[in-house]
Amino acid sequence: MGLKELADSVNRRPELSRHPDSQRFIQSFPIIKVKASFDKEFDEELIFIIQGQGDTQRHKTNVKADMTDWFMQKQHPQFQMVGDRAIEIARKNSPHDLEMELYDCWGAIYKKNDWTKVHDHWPHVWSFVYYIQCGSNDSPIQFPDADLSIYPISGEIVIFPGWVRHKVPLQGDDSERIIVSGNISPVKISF
Amino acid sequence: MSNNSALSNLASSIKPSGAMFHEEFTTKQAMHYNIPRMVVDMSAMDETKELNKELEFDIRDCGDNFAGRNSSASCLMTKWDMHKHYESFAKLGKAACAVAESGALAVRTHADGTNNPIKLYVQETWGLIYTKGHTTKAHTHWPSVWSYTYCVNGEQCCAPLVFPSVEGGSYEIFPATSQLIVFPSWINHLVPEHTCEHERIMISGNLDVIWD
Repeated sequence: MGLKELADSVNRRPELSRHPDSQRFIQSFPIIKVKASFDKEFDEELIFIIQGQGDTQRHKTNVKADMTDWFMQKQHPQFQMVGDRAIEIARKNSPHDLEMELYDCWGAIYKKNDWTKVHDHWPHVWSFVYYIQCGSNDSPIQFPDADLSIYPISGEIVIFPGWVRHKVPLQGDDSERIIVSGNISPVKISF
Repeated sequence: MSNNSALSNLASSIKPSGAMFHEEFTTKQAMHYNIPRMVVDMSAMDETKELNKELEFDIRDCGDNFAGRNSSASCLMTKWDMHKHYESFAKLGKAACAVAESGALAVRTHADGTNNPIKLYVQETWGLIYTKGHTTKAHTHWPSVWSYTYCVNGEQCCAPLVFPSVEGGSYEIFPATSQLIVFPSWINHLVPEHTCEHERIMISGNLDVIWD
């Protein structure tokens, strides 16, 4: 048996985490919620960029709301700045010091009846959401496996491990829930 | 600090209690994972017998790199980057990558919707020799993506690999020579006291993603 046969012997199935034989692990994980401390002018720039791009993804991703390109930080330094803030928080809360970088970063605008399917960002190390503009009745981010909901507050950033499943239920309010999200990974190494 | 060396600080930074995070940030989460599906018997591979001999030789050649003990494991433990110094560890790492790549927990696609498989590399790997009385405290390897253990020499009577956070009780896997176990790095695990008279010789390692 060679390497290929070895891999094939595992019996490729996507249900590693959903198969009836799978074990249920009860473990702790961190959710960090802090003020991002960006000023109003910065937030207005982000909103202007996100609104200007419109629904590039046409609701085809897990996000059933208007959503920009995945790699907005490559076009707009404001997205990189949000990512840098998230990385700063991630470094303080990782189990050891690890050089990390922003992998992708996008904006989204949730209007009434918009939502996001349950999903995770595995194999990214950390994921985050920055709430630019949110109302008091806007939908929370929900972590269904932890039975936890966090209601959005404008100016706050929430970060969590990339393997943690999350979703956003239907936005019931007429107000626009405007966010930036992204993924953080270890710095790339060359081979 | 370079990425290559960053995870080498893992042992020194993991809290002695095995707790990963500050309590004020901690939320309990239920996660599902099918551990038995990623337990692979490598004894059918043509090279395995020879590989096991080489691995054992190379562990002894390197010796105990943690004599002052700054690790979750109380037994003999080599340096972290054995795959860079010994071909046997590099070979085993390739096998672990192949198994882990076959068990991706999520599908990744390119922007055009075509499949974009997640490729892995060995971030670090080390050897361990347990003798009577040795243990490894509960710990995780997050933020690595996958972790693996491989049994160079062990029997069903040896101390098992224990996953203590399974709901309703822990899950145990007893060693068998040439057994490879691949599991997500966020899963808490430990080795209870080894009570056999013979040596329990193991390889452990962490795999990370080759990002585009």
